[in-house]
Amino acid sequence: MNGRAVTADDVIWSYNRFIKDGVQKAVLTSVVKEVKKVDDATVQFILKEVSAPFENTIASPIFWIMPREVIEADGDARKRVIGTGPYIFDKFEKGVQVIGKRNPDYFITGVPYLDEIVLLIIPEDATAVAGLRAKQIDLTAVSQTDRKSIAADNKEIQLLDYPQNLLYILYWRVNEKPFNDIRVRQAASLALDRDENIKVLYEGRGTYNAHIPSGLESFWLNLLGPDFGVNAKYFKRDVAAAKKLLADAGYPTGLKVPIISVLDAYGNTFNTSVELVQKQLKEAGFDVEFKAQPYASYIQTTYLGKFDAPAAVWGLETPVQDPNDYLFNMYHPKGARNHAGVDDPVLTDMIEKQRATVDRAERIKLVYDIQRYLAEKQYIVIGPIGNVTVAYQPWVKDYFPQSDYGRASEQYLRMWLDSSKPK
Amino acid sequence: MQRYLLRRFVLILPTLIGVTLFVFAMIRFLPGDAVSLMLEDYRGYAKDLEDLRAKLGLTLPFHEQYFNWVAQIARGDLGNSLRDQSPVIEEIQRRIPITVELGLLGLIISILISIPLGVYSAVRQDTLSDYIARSTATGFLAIPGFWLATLSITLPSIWWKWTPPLRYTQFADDPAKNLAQMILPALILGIGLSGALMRLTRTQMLEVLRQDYIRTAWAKGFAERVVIFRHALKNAFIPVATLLGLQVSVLISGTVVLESIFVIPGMGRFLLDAINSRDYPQVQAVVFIFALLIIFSNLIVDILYAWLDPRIRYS
Repeated sequence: MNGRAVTADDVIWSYNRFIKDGVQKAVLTSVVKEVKKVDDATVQFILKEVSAPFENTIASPIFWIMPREVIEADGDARKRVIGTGPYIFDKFEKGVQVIGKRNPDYFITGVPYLDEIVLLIIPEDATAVAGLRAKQIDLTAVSQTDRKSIAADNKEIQLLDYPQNLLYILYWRVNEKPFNDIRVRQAASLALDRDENIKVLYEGRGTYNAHIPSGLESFWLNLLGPDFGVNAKYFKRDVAAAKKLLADAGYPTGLKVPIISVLDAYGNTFNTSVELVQKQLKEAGFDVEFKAQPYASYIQTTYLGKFDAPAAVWGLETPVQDPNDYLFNMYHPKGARNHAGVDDPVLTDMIEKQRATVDRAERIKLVYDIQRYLAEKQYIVIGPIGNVTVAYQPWVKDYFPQSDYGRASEQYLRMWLDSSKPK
Repeated sequence: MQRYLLRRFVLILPTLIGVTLFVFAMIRFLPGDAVSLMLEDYRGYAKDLEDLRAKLGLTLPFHEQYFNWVAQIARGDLGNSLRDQSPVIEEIQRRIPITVELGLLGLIISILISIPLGVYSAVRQDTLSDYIARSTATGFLAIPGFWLATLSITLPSIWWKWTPPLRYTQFADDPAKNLAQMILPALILGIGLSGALMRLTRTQMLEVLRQDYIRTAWAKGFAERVVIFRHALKNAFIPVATLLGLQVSVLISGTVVLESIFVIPGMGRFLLDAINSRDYPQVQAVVFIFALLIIFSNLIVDILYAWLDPRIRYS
C-alpha cells in the first residue's frame, strides 16, 4: 500500500478512523470491544460477545484499510486513490474511463492475472450492448430485455445469470402517522404486484424477496414455499384486502401519500419500477404524489431516515454479504440504515440472538423466524428481484459474480483472457 | 466595412453583459434554496450553510458578487467543481476542442448535403428529383437525432458486429481512430441541420432564379454552371448564412444527446453530468461558454453577411 507493506498499525488506525466518521460504524462498534496490535502483521479484535457475522462484516467493503500518511496529508480520502487491492489506480478521466494496473505486490501471490482493467463510463445501455456485440467490450451487465436479444443474435457471447442480494424497499417513518399503523403498512405490501414487477422489469426471470434477499440463498426463506407460514399472504397482491385494511385504519376513501424516489442513479430498470409501484399503490387506494429527489441528496438524507412523514420512499438497499448486515442495519435501533426508524424490542432481541448464534443451522432457523415476523410487521415493504445477467465474450474466463461493492477484489481478481481475444 | 465591423464588435459588449448577468443570476433565482441542496450534496466541501455561502461568495451584495465573478472570468478562472474541487477551466479546456470538432464536422456535413441538394431541387423544380429532395429534407427535419443515433449504434452492431470506437482517442494521437468515432455522430448532427438549410436554399434559389439579372445571364448564353454558381447562389446564400449562424445553438443542444450516446467526452456530456450531480459552478461555466460560442458564431455570420451583401456595409 502506497509503496510499502500493510501493517497492523494501518488496520488499527483505519478502524479507529472508521468508527469515528464511518456512517455504517454501528454494525462493528456494537460488537467490537477493543482492537489490539499483536505484532506488525497481526491484529486482535476483542469482541463484547460472540458474533457469528463478524468475519463477514469486517471483510465487507464498508471498512477499508487506508494509508494514514496519505489521509493525514490530504485531509480526506478523495484526492488520491490508494488502498490494498489487486489493482493500483492509474487514471480517471471524467466521463471517459477509470484505469487500474495490476498490483504486483498483492497479498495473494499470483493474482490478479490481468495487467490492466479499463472501466469505460458508458451512460447509455444501448451503447454498451452495441460495444459488446462489436467485440469492443469484454463484459458488461445487461438488462433482461437485452439479455433476450443477445441470446438470440449473438450466441457466442456467454451469459451468466445469478440472483442478486439486492432489495427493492418501500419505507416510511414507522413511528409517525399514517405508517405507525400496521394495517396501512400491510395494505401497501398487499398493493404491490410482485408478479407484474418480475414480468415487466425482468422478463419473468426473478424471485420474491423476503426481508432477506433471495441472493443470500441459504438464509432466505422462500415466500412461495411451504415453510414460510401464514404471513406469506402479505406478499401476495390483494387489492380488495388492501382497501379494507386502509378503511379499517381510518382511510375509507384512500390515503394521500407523497412518494419519494430517485431517477438519476439506478438505471432504467429501477426507473420503470418507480412507475409500476406508483400505479399499483394507486390501484389499492393510495393517492400517491411522486417527488423525485437527486441521488446525491437522497443518499445523505432520505436514505438515512431524514425525511418527513407521511412520505413513503421507494429505493434500493445496499447489497451485503451477511444477513446480519441487513437485519442489524435496517431494523436495529442502532442500525446505520434504519431508514424507517424501527425500534421493536422483540425484533431487536431476535436480531441480537441470531448474531450471537455461531451454529449455522441454528442461526438459519433464527433468521427464518425473523423473516416470518417481519412479513407480518411490514416495517419495510420488500419488492421482488430479478436475476443479474453479465454478458461476456467467449475469451473471458473465471469472471466472479458480483455480490457487493468489492468490484476489483472479487469480480476481476482471477479473471483472465484467452488467446482468442482479437488484438 | 471597417465601421460596420467596429459597430458589430461594440454591440457584442451589451450582449456579453446581458449573458453574464443572466448566467450569474440563474443560480441565485433557482426555485428552492439551491445552497441548502448543494450542502446536502457536497457535505465535505463546507462545514455548514454559512460556510458554503462564504466559500461561494454569496454573502456579498449582488453587484459585488457579479463584478467579482466577471473579474474572475477575465482572469480565466471559471471556479472549482464542487465534486472534486478541480478547476472547471481545466476540464473545459480538455473538452471544448472535442465538441468544436464534432460541431464543425456536423456543420460541414450539413452544408455538403443541404446546399447541393437545395440548388439541384430548385433548378429541377417540380420534377421527380425535386420531390425526392424535398421529401428527404422533410424527413431530415422530422427524424429525432437521439432516435437516429440509437438506431445507428444498435443496428450495425447486430448486422455487422460493428460500432464506432467507444474509447475516445484524441485527434492528435490517432486521427483515423478519432474520425472513426466522430464521423457517425457528426453525420447525424449534419443530417439534423441540413433539413432546414436545404429547404431555405431551395426557396432562396427559386426566388433568385426568377430575377431579371439571371434572365439576362441566360440570355447572354452563359453556361448553366456559371449562371447557377456564380450569379444565383451567392445571392441566394445570404439568408442561408444567417440560418447557419442560428443553427449553432441547435448544434450545441444536439451534442448534449449525441455525446452521451456515442461516449464522446465533450462539453455536452460535461453539462449533462454537471446537471445530474448538481455541480452548479460547472453548470454556470459551461452555460457561459456555450453562450459565448453562440455570440461569436453570430458575429462571424454578421461578418460573412457583410461580405456577401455589400449593401449591408453601406446602410
